[in-house]
Amino acid sequence: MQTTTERCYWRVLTGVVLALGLTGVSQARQDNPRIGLEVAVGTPVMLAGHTQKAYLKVGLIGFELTQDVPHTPANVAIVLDKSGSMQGEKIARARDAASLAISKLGRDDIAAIVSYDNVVRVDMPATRVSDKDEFRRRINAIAANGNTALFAGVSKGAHEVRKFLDRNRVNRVILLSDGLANVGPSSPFELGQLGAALARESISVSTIGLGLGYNEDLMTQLAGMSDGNHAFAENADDLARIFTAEFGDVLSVIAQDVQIRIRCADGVRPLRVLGRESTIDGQDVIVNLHQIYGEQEKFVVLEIEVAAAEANEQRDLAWVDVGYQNTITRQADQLRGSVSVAFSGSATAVKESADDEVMTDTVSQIANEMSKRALELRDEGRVEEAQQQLKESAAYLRSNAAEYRSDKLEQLGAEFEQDADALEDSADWNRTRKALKKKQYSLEKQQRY
Amino acid sequence: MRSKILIPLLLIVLLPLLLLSLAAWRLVQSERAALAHQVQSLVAAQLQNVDDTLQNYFQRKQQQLDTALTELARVLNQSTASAIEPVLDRYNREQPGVRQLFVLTARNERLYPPAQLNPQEQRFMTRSAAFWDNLSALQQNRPAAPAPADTPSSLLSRSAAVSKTGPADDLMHNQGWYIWQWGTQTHLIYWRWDQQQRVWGIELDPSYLLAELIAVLPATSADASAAARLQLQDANGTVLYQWGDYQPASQQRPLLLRPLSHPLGSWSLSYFAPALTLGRSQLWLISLAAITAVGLALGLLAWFLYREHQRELRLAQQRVNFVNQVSHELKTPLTNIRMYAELLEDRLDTVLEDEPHTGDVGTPQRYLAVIVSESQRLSRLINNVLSFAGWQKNRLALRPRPAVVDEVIGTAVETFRPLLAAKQIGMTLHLQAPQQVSLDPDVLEQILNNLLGNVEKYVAAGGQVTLASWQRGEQSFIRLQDDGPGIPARERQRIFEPFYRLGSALTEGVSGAGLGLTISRELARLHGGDLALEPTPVGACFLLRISALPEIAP
Repeated sequence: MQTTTERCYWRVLTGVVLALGLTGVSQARQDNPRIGLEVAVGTPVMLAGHTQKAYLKVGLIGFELTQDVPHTPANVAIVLDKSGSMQGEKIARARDAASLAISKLGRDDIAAIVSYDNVVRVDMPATRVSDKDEFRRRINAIAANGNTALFAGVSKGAHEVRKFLDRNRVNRVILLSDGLANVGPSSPFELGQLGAALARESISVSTIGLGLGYNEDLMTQLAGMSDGNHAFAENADDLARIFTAEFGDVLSVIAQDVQIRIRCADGVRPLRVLGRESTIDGQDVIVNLHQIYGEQEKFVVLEIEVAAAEANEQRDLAWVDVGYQNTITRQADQLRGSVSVAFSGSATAVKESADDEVMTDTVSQIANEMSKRALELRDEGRVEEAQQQLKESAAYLRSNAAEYRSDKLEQLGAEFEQDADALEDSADWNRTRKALKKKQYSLEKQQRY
Repeated sequence: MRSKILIPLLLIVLLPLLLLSLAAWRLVQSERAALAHQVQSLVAAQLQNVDDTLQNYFQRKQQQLDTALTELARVLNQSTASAIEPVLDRYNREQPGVRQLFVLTARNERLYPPAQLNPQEQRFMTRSAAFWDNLSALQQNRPAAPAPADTPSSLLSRSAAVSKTGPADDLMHNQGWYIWQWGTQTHLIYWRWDQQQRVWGIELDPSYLLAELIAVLPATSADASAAARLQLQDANGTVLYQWGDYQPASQQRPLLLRPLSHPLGSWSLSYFAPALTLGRSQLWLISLAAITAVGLALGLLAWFLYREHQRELRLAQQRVNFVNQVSHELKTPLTNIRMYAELLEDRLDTVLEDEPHTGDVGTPQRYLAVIVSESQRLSRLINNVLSFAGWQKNRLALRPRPAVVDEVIGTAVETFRPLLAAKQIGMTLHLQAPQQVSLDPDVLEQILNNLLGNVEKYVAAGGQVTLASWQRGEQSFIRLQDDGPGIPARERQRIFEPFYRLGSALTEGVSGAGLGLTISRELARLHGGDLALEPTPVGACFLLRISALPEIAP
């Protein structure tokens, strides 16, 4: 028989062991943080008896970056437009923003400063950020005058980043432009091509458009194909905030070169991926993401066609393999997941089983596509049709907001209503278009700012 | 006379200046040409450098691609066609700068992309059609045909005509680059045979290729030694990339333009620089200064010469004036002396008529004869001088009146009779000009006096002189022939020159101014005729011709 003291002793011991164990476990988690993978389908229970569409979501959640863990070292090139149109306040604010960004970096980070007008100048070649004053001095020496050799600027910026290219660094070119590229290749297609090629090298390009004179199609293509960020700075004063946010992202990268491979089961036909570039090869779908940030989710929504099945059947839908470079642990990680679906004869069961989160994300992506279509219509001059489209998508969002109990969709619906009205104003269309493109981009890529 | 010296002086000043300017201009031109040439070769070297950089890039790229393709071929050899597909897919999808990979079997069948083309691959086949056309020629082991004339005219074949494999890749070789223009972009395929006679090819992403080229080309730095601008242009002349601090004017032409080497043969490099003017203006300034200095020196010299010349002329003129003045002063007293001597002669003849005289040495008549003949001689001399002066001032005038030639001859001969007799020179006369004509007898007499005076001076003692006269129409002729020493052929014209006397023992010690024949001919010409020396075997023969003068109204 145990005495009270003995019982006490055992309790204390268990407590201590447990405590140690827990800390040990949490320590282990800290030592080997991994990205969270969530594979889910919008309708986990589907109606039996017919072929139907479904939406598959693969979500990647970045782990938390604690204070004591150093951030992934950066390897960035800041490419500034110093054409004549930047004269005055714009170049001054750009310089300030760049200096501000540099001040956030540390000894482990590498930065380069490139400026371009007709020609490209490498004001600071890729160097460790140890002497911030030197950086500041060179940034302040940039004066505005001339044309816009945007392609060349990005090329030279990429060249600087290539010098210290490392899978375990955030390799990024940050491009600021306020005008139209007019020296060298200047079409969205060509810049998009460059972006795609740089992405294969693990270099992403974030683009910041300043003012109302830049080509937003070009800037979004360049960023989109390389999976960087895109921002619209209406005034020069916005630059500081945007640069801060961009560099905030840069310093919070935890994974790079993410490749998601979704293998669909028999009876499942992959149709398309919403909102991202993808390769569909038979039953396989491959999507590449460039980077994952700490405490942030990036996801991929795949539209599939599921063959008819009997009620009460259970089917595997797909298996997901994710490979990425963990820049914190400096290791290549692999994640695995799968998802299956059940069939039921009852419509209510189907409705009740709906995964709100997946459907919210799916609906927002579909609505975004509608918004892009509306933009195309507006570009063709068919204003009323464009407005109609946006209003329809707003209604779509609202109805789905109710169904899936989503505030996010409700809010998005209200925004789309406003956007529909804004389409009419031709005087302000330039600004509206840029803002619209930026919003569509952010939604597509799950951009944080 | 004054203006005559100005032209030579002007020439003295201007000719050297002209020559100097010419030389200076030539110098400047050649300096400029040398400088331009130097600049051109420097620029050409710089452009060559850039071309070399790009060539190096392509070599490295080729090596990189060769390595990758060798590896893929090795994998292909060890696996089946279906198993290789994912590997090739992955390479196609993940390699930066690779747009499309393709593989053909030895029998020219397409192994990759597989038979079923997705839209992207279809687009690739469309835009690379020209390459496939060319490739069939390769497989038949024929050397590459030049741009075929029978291809249908379209954008495609035009592009194909422009691009071809370069000299480095004879299609008999193992690999090569194929370049063509599609829309605004320049596309490049790297192709290669492997050991199994398969053809591997990679189409490079045009944007990425350009970005890589830009990466190896220089950026613009502020402290470039020479402000210049280099431009890389594609086949259409569109500027792809440029660097250098200098901004050329909108229509400025490049200093040098050269096409790049294969495979970018349709691209070119242009070099812009500000025009060289500085050195040129310096050179011009220096040469202008030199020419001005020389011009000034020559001008000074010319002015000095001119002044001296003018002074000489003035002095000469003063001398002539003096002589004329003196002669004028002498004329009147001399006329008196002669007149009174002749009067005295006549008087003496009358007084001493009764007494016999022989004309020997020592008689008063003889003394008077000497005075008379000497004063006559002086008169003739002074007449000559005054006539000469008058001729120089264009103030010689004739006073025609009716006269008989033979009579004038007679007067002249009479004057000289005693002188000739003293030298025992025999004179024969054949006078056949008895007609009265309008002439100036004083002038005729002066001419005859000069001729006879020469005879008296130069013909040796005991000589013979013949004087003949005849008339023909308006003209009267007089020929005077002596058998003296004569005049050498080469002096024939010179004896008529003013102040010229034959320089020989003959003329030494004989008085004379050298004006006689000069003035005689001039007067003869004034009289519508001429005085000439006829060639004779011995002695001298003068032919005088004069015309009848129109009457002058009194």
